[in-house]
Amino acid sequence: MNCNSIASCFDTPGLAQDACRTIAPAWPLDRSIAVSPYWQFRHRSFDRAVEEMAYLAGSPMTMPPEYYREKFDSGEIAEASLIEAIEESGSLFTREEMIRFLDSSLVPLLQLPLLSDLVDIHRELTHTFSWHEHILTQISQCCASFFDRFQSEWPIDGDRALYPYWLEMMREDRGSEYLMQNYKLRQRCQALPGDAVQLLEMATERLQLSPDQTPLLFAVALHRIQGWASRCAQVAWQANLAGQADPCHCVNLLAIRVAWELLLDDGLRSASSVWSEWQIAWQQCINTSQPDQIRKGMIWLRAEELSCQDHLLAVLASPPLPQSEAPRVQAVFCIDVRSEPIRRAIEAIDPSIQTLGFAGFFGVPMEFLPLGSDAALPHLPGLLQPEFTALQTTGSTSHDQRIAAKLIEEKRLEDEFSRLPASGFALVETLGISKLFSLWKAAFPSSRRHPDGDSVRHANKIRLEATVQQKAELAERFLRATGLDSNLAPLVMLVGHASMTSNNPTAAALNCGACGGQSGLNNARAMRDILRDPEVTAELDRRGIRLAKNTVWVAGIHNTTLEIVEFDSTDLALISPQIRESLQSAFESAGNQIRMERLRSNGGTDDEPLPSAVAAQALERGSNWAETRPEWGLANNAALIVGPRARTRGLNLDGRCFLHEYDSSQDFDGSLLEQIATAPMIVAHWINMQYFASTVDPHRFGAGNKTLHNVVGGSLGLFEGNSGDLRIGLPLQSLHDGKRWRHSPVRLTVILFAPREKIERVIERNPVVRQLLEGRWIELILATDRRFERMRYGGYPASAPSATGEQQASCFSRMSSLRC
Amino acid sequence: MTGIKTLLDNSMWLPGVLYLVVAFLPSPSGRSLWKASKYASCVALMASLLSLASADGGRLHLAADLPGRLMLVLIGILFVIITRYAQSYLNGERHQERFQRTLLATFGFAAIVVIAPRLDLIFVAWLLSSISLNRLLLHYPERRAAQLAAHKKFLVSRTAEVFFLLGLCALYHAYGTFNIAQLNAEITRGVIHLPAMTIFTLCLSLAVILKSAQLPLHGWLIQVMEAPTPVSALLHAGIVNLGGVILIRLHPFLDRVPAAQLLLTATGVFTFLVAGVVMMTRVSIKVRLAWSTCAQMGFLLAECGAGLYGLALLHLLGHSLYKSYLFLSSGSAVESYGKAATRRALPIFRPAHYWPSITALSILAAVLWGMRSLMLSGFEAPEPVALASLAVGVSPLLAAGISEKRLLGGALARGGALLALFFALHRIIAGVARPIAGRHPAIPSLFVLGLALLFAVQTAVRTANPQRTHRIRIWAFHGFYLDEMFTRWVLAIWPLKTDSALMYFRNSIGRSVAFQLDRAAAGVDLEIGTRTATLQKML
Repeated sequence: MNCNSIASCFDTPGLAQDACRTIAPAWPLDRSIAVSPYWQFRHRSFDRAVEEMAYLAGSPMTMPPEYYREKFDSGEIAEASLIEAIEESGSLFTREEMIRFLDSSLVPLLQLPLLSDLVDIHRELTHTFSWHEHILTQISQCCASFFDRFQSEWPIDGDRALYPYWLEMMREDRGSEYLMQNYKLRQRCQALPGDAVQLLEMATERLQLSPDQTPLLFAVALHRIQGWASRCAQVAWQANLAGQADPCHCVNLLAIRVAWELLLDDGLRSASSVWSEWQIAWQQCINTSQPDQIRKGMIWLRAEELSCQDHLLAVLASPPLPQSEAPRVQAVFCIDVRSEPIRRAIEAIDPSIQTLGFAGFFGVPMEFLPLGSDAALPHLPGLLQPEFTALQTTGSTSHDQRIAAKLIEEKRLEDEFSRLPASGFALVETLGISKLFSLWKAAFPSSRRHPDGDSVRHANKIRLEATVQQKAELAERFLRATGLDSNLAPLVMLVGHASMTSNNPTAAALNCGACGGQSGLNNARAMRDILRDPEVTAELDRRGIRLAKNTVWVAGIHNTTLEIVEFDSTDLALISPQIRESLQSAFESAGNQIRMERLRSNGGTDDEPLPSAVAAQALERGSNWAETRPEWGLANNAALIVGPRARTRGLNLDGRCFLHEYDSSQDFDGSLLEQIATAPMIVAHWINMQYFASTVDPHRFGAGNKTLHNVVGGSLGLFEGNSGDLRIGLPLQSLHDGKRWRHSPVRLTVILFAPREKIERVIERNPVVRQLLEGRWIELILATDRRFERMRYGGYPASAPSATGEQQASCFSRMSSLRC
Repeated sequence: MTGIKTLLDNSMWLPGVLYLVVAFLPSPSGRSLWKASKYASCVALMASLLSLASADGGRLHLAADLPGRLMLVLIGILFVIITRYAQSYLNGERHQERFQRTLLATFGFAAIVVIAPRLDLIFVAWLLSSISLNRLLLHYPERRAAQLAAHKKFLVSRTAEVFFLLGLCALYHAYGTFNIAQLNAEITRGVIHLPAMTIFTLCLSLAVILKSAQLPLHGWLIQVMEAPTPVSALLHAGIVNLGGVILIRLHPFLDRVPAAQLLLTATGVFTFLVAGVVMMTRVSIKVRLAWSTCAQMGFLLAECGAGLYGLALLHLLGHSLYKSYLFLSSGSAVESYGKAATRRALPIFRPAHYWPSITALSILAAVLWGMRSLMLSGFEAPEPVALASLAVGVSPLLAAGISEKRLLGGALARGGALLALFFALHRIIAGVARPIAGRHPAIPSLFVLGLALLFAVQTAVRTANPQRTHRIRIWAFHGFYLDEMFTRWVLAIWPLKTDSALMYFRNSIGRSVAFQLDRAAAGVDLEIGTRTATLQKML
């Protein structure tokens, strides 16, 4: 048979691209933001994705039975929710069957096998490593050395693509041969083609793949090295955003994994050959349906969601606190779930403060360039490409230059001495002893703290490189979206947020996701500077937004680890002392309240400790270099509420809700809603799904145990232990406190205070939003006057019963009695 | 006065005993055990500081066996830091109590090794600390890579102990005592039973080489990242150094046996050369640190072989502090990556560095040699080998200054400060342990040759076109394939357990087909099957 003819009827590059399209991107550690690992499955329904993830990767998307057993016994999943979930699923499972399932043990999911797996099945795995383990290690190390630009001192010859690089390495690799006792590997590598696509074509031919099998096999192979694949996918994503050519790392990686299959194929095709066994196994796997557990697990997942929604809706049905007509201060917080408790506390303490929720980058799509650096960090959501550069500055150019020169000199000379192997000996014999002080300082950190967290002291200003027109454009969008174009208070505070953590490779996951995993302070500064700029206000005036002249704009920061809110230090002088003091005391007591709540939820103490002691404890956590759980981040997030704060003010939402400001009466053409549905809602969904995936499948979508973390290539990612796949997602310690999961994996519920027509128009115009809703990745609940109505799409009955507030309230009381 | 003398003389026992008592306390667990070890750590640190002094006839002076006492202080410091760290770090982990007790025991036995006045006690304590450490390495026993590393470590350490025991037998046969002070005194006095002394010193050197993770049996040291970070810190900063301390304490033996000197220097030079080169290709922070430890241990042994005991001790202390800090703070790698933003834009490949590197080294070598000649009169000058390592180490700083004028001032200031610091420290520490006999010139020459080669490779790698070093990079990236043979051998004699992740994976694959179900549903069946097959073959 002619090989060309086969190749042409397969369109291998297209199939390879399709396989690559099943992998969601994962960002590097220094700018890590949450991404839904299932993002590329969004055009299928959630239910389909559950099945496909099982076949492709053996990855579960629901929790094991014992998790739901605990939730059911404690009453967190109400019986009514279970029954509703069973009905909704349309399955024939009875309630008793479902409850019996809770005591069953976990059955492994069916997973499509590779040829190498069948080779492994015939091997004895106690005196040797499995091919599965070895291939993973080999590819992972190779990828790390290919992508690393920081850790290694020995530059790689960078002109090759990933697959040719690997091939060259394999052709020299005596270690794999010797270790795995297969002395033909190098010789066989000589016969492999030097190009990724050719290799894949060769594989389809050699492995005699059927047209149905090829795309699946590619996807299965890529999911075996899913950590690095996600890294490659991110490079492609970034290239795509910047309008550059995709370097095709993902296809190369796929070729590497498939090449290993070719290397392990013995070429025999008889009925008793490994290849035949593999083909049979493959067919049988495809023809067998996944265990019942998968469907039962989904019903339980749904039951938990329903219970969670019931609780939430009951809270929302209760009357909110009245809002003062003319607030003295307005504070704009990030939509992050951690803003909700502190906003609630501040408003309760001082009714003259009004708080609002908006994406924490305040609408400034910028990258930030620290002093002395020439690599800017993106400070915006991953969906966007930076449009402006903000430079860190002390305010004086000459001073900036001096500082930058000094920083560069220090860094360069330090590298010249401390990173070279031949210098290491002299280093140890001169400066080694002085590390005693470093050790001591790190083990017993001082209790003082830089309020701004700036890398250089006094460099606490930024300069945004943008024209007046551009700035006015940003300001206009921000003001209209938050409703601050009218009703401005005398003092408006833009509050970014950041966490405080030491020696933590996954620190970015605790920072502001809307600011690219950085602190939100610089974005707040940028918007503040824009709004203070008289030229911009003049331009805004021309555009019909009349800002009150006497309004003072200030920036601030919400430290989510310590739960303190502070003003940007340069702004302190601008606020009248009286207001400043009253605000600071409000922030302080709000912080005390939240810290105390947190202590209680952590199962703290019976006796009431002093607020100062609790604050000191939080500070200790934030500055302790050995702390693996400085704070809980966005754990337990469950819902996004899009609506006016007036409807949620004073209601206890347990820190589980993203809050976005929206007033549909001001949104005449629905453009604001569209903006929310296509940006903040997607970001909330990504965060929600990242936490979800890291909880339901910690081995594939979680970063593993922090005590074993080993940073790769400075910021490429993490290994758990010596090597293994690159670990993406959240570490175990961000989700689990050692006794129980601190995150309940439920899909995002969006509660929208808007009329039905408006959202329907948005859904029509945006296929992505439609996919997410139809596929049940997100559930939309419309809130009108004290009524909540589920928007049903796709498989749902369109006329689902809508729950009124009263009904929900009674449901809630039943639940709380169960809890007692 | 005698009271003070007794106190000072016996305070050295306190740390070890205290750690062990807490380790084997029956009742407390969890938080109260951490509290107990906290109190123990404070008292032990005080005691170790006291043990530095000795009182004789109403006057205080430094204790006789200073290297061991200094090591004891170091262990005291590491204990304070590491237990404090581990308490937060392992919060919420399973088997915490087992971890705590084993950690305490490892420290306890190590604290006895460094001060024990008798060789038989050293043997026992060294053995026990190594066994406790093995348990720590298996803190996550289901991880297969952890099992492999622990097995390797176990086998290497037991071999080392067999050598040590053999040497001890020979020694006792000839000298009739295990007391180190007596033995050292006899050797210094010239009481020499040549065969016994040679056998002992060679055996001891071999034991130390094995326990210091010298090539090619270094694999276990590199692969212990499968245990929590504090264990890596303890191992790389503390336990791996014990061999070096024993060598320094017994240096009169080493001074009399040139074969052992050559053995140590040759192994050490080979190790620091190869490990130094491999280190430059590492991609993950902890593994890079591990290769660096390997190289530093090689350097330490080479120093011992060359008779630079004072510097070896300085190296040991400095390296311990340095490495424990780097391991414990390895999570900050991402932060330092951010701070190194400026560096990222600079290509690592810098052909323009070639001549400045060579010029800088020549200038520095000339300057140091000049300083040494000036110093000879009256002042104890550092050995040529020490100066060579200093020149090789500091010259890249100077080279940076030569190639970039704006860095010159900073480079000169830093370089000068480093030289001054080195001379000062050398002056302080050189007297702690001096060799009682000179070395054959071949040994320092070998040492300097190793340093020169490492410098040459380092310069070549940074200045040559990556295409030209590509092939050798692949070899270095694979650690020159030195560990594979050992790995295979260990796997052959000591099987791994199949872990749960692997079993889950196999089951989920195996379930697809009925005929595979039978064999793969339980890994045990599979094992028995193979075992039967092997048995049949044997019959």
